[in-house]
Amino acid sequence: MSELLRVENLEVSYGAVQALKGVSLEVKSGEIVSLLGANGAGKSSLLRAIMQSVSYSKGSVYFLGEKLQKIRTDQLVERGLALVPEGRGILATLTVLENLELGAYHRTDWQNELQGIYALFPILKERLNQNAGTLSGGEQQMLAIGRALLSKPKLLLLDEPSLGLAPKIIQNIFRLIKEIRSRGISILLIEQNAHMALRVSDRAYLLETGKIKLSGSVQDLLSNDELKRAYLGG
Amino acid sequence: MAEFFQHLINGISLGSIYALIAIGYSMVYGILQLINFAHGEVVMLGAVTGFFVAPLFGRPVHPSLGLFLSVLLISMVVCSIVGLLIERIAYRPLRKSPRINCLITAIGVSLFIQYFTQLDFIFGAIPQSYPELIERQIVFSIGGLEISNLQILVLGLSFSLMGILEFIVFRTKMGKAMRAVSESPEIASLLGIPVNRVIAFTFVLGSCLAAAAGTLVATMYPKVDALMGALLGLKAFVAAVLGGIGSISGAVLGGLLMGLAEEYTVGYLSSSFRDAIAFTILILILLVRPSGLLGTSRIEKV
Repeated sequence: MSELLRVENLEVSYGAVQALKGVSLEVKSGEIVSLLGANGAGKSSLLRAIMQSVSYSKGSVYFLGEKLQKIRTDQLVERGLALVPEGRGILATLTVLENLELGAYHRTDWQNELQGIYALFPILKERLNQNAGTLSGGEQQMLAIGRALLSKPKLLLLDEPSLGLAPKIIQNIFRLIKEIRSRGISILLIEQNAHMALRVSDRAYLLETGKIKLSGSVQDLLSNDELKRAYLGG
Repeated sequence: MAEFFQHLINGISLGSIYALIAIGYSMVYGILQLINFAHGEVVMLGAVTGFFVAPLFGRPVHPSLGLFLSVLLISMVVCSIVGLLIERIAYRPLRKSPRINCLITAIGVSLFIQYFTQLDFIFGAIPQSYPELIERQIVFSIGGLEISNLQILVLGLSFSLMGILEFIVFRTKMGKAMRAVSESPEIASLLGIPVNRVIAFTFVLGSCLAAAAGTLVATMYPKVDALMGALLGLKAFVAAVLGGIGSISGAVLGGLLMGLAEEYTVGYLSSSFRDAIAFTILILILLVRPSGLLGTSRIEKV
């Protein structure tokens, strides 16, 4: 398996507060990797730093073997990295179709992929000309993921896709995550919902106060007592 | 009664010029939350460009629609370049600075352009008369009500430009990207939208409309001076606030109301209140409905 994303020793600070204290991780192609951690552990900061939308003081990020330097977020999207941000990041005043269209901003050959998106998310097809702000939380999450898929990513970063959604919809989202991987897209999944995340993942990292506390295959982590106590309620 | 309708016509044609300028304020505010105080100066440069360019088509200047359109086009190009330069040199380096820094810079840019234009080897401090691009004719006259070809030109041109703008903003990919950046630059960049390019495009659009406004003002009231942008810009800014800053349709509505208010004040009260009315409106709207007529108050994100 070839390496898609590699983060080395990343440090991010907001003023005096250090959010990431030397984080390293990697995602290989075809993998679903989970990044678990409580609120404030630095998960979202890590994703933002990977997307180059916050600057990091130390460390480096490699995507497709190339070190990311002086590259803008939008150029990174063009190269095949997409982030579905926490809180979904829907453009509420634009229609569902316009949101999807902008997901494919740098592409011209996206029209024929819409059918595939509708097949994954049938509800979007019914709501195409509605303002995205009028969608329910679950529908917005689907729009956010569908929109990101239209950028034709090689690696999809999902920031807490289950946050604030009903259990039934959460199951649906995790089913979709597997489905997306089967289409050849790798996924880095950030979750507080450790049970669900581990069920779909190949490997996982546990982030605590800016550092990787544990990492390994899902089987290893599931048998780790510390993780069980803190995140799986065992 | 004829007088009332005469003021109505005059007010709408003046108002549509305000609207063209107000749209520029509103678009830039919508996308950067910045009040581009230099926008009035771009309007002035539109008129100044026409002053220099019109004689190049032949002296003495022969008024014709073709001449008007050529001068308009060149003014638009010049103003677009100025708009791009302002954005690139003055505002882009401050993108991550506090808003107050940008605001003060905007005032600085505005003063710079005003005084730079007043230099003797540029335009000079003395007002000049604007060449007659189109001969004024009364094309419609009924019971004392008169409509001139210039008024029809102003209305026709303003509303076609607004129509084109509407098309760009709602139908084209660039327009959709503009609306995306206006809602959230961060999310727009996560979608692969080059935010800086979209902002530059917004300045080009606003500057084209400002150039058209400058050319129309100078054609209607044929005088050009380096400080003409200040008051025009300020009134159009009030119009944008009145309509709800950040909203394009609000800017159009605000501009028209502003033109009408000014015209009726001059007609029925006194012409010395001409400029006072704008600021009376500003104070009233800020007291009663600060978000403007069509504006929605933005919820500050935390």
